[in-house]
Amino acid sequence: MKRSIFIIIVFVLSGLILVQARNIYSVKEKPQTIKSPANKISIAHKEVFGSLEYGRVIFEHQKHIDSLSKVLKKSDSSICSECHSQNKYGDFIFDFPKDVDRKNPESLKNAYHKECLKCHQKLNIQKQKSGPTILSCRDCHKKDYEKTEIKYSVFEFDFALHDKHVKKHNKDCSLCHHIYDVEEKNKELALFYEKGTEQSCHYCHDLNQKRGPELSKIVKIAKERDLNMERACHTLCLNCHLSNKEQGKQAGPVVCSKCHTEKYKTVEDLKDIPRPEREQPQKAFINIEDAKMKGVAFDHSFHEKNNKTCRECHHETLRACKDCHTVKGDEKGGFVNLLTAYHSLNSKNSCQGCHRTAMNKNDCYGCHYFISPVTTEIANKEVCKRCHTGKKEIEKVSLLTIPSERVKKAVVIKHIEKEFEATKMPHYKMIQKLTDVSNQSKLATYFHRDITTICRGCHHKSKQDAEAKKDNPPICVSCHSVSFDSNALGRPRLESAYHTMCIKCHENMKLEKPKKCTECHERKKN
Amino acid sequence: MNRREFFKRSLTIAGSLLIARNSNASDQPLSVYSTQNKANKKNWEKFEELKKTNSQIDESYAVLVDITKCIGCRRCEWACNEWNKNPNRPVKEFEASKDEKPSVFDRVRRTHAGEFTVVNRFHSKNKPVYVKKQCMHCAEAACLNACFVDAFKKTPQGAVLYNPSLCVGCRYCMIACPFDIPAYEYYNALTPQITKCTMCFDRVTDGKVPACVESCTSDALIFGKRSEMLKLAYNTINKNPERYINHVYGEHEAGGTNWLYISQIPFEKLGFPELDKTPIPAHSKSFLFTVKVLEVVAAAPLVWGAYYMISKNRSKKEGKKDE
Ligand code: SF4
Ligand code: SF4
Repeated sequence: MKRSIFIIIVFVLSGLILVQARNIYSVKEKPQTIKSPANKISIAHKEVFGSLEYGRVIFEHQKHIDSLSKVLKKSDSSICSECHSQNKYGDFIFDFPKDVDRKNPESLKNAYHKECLKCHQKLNIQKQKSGPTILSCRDCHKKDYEKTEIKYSVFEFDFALHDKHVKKHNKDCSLCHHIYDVEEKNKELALFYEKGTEQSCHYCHDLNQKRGPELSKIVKIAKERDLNMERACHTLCLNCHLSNKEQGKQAGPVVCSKCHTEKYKTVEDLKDIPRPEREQPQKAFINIEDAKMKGVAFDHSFHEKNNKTCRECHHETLRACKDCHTVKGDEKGGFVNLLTAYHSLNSKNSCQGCHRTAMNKNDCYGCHYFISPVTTEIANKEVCKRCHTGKKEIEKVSLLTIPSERVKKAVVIKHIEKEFEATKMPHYKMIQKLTDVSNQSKLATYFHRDITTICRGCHHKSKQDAEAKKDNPPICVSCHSVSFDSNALGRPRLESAYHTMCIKCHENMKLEKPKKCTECHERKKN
Repeated sequence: MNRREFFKRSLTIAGSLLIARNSNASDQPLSVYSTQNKANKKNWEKFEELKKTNSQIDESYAVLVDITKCIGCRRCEWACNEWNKNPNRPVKEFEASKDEKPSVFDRVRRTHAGEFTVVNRFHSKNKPVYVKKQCMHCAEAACLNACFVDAFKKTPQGAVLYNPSLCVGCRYCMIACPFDIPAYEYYNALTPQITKCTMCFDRVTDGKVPACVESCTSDALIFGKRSEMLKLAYNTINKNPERYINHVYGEHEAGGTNWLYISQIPFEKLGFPELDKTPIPAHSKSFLFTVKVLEVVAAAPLVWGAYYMISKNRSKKEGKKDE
């Protein structure tokens, strides 16, 4: 009797433990994402239906176009109207089904079922090959699809494509660019083109981003009309491509996979592509009237060539920085004053923020890992003057040259001799490499004026006022003592200093060697 | 075999094993079961001594570990062993483990008797990340609170010290510590000992830095006033936001610890327990309550057992004297 109770208890307990363990260890299955979906579309309308009772439908868009055009003997560009409605200008609205209250889940659901089946049945009666003809859920809402998600890669309308369109349409910007007048009473007339106002679609149609007070009114309207980037671009691009095709002209792609290629051009690829012309200056002199600092000569075209979009700097609108960011900062500029707009280290759009990101490249990061960026609060005159020259012309700078007679060929590090063989450090070779890196970059060349800048990568304190007067920079052991200095707890010992500096620089520049300790210092054999 | 018989037998086996091991330990003082380390005792004595002088300390010290800098040379381990007179090997063997295959780094180690600190290797984006582990010297130390004979003290210098002469060997501290630090050794049944890092209390009070800090070859360990170390930690993070995560481990964990860590990857991935700001003792209270209940229940047999052992031991010793 007792034994059976004991056994029961053991069973119950182990059961409980198992149930718990299952709860903990069972992983919720994640839907599998198809990255290049071969012109398929996922129909789920999460915003209307929430989660679907039978899961999503994966719809073969291109297959439907192909078979429909075969049956109806129409060109595939004129077939669109079978499923999609047109506005009064003849432009397609790429919604399906036509004319239905898209906010009401019940009517949207019914419309889908009705439209799909109607067409399938019609074909079936004509003895044509067709999709499912009776309302049997799993025929379309396949079980497998519940775990499949479709994701097209973002399409980038880069400068190369822009240039192609500009040339093709003889600089008629009005075909794509427009502005919206919020004040205009007659909504029909609110959307129009005005020369010189062209800007990126993102500004009004990217609904996910924060916008300044002015734009947000327009964005609100775009939101109401559900004109996010996807819809806005599909409507604009596809309608144009389709009508060109219809008229037998050379036309852009209308098939999903032709635009969503997952291939992106780099700044390097776009090097020789002319940038959009919008009356921007080649060279600008940024001079703020009531600012303290002298003006900055700015090479606008150089910076254009080094970015993939205008938005990289002109984040809110394609206007000059000072149009929104005032010296004091106000609501118009999101309370970011002009000083911060140009110098913020944390912004991707500011001069200094962007330059700082550039310094994170492998080549630069060896030294710049250790050099904290200059902030406006602690910068000295010397540094500010690099940009704030007060001259309209950009300063001419020459490439760095190494004063061979002053630079040691090799440095032998001996203080580890008790345990290790002395280390021979190719001092000259290192400087040569760093100088080459600097000379190859225009940004670096502009800011590294003098060969001592390169020295400072390792001899980091050489700029201290007392040291500045000396001819040679201080060597490591001048400050980093061999044993621990209890007066300067925060200052690494010589060995630590070497390790930190050498290893981190090699690591950051992604240099091949050294991988092992012994590649720098052999242990003494004794 | 009925159940009762089974229990009886297994107990006898366990008991004889235990006794065998003990007698073995007392025969050879330097057996593998014991390091007979005196570091904890020595530091405690120094602490007691200093208490008499009434010297004032305005702020505790801390060690800041910058995980991004550690190169895994294990010199800190070596230096720790050397200073605390733990079993040691030549320093080259420590350094070599970095490039060796197989290597000590292949598994994540914890501290042991005779090893107050260990360096472990983790990986992030195919790059090795080395993390030194030792007692964190918590402000609200769980070990201290778990101990019912008050064998732990938090010193004004920051170190959590341990007094072997009070310890009864119950090992509650080992269970309580969220970092798995206290290690247990027993040399014979009556002098159990917990061993753990002392934050080199003896060195620090002599105006030196802890042995590991002094030996660190890559500036990964920095010693100073706790507030200064915190400032330094945040300075480092703020200056290089892309290189560090914005978290100083030990600032609040376990009520604030005297070892602080900054890192490039989240601490959970480096074997650090995720602790909220509540000091550990608040969590362990309910556990400790059960412990107290158990003490009451188990007191009688334990006392009897202890008495039995003592009398047996005494008669043995007396017997020895007689010889
Ligand atoms: S880390 Fe563990 S042993 Fe060290 S003080 Fe904290 S609780 Fe005690
Ligand atoms: S001595 Fe320093 S660098 Fe070497 S393992 Fe210890 S903490 Fe890391």
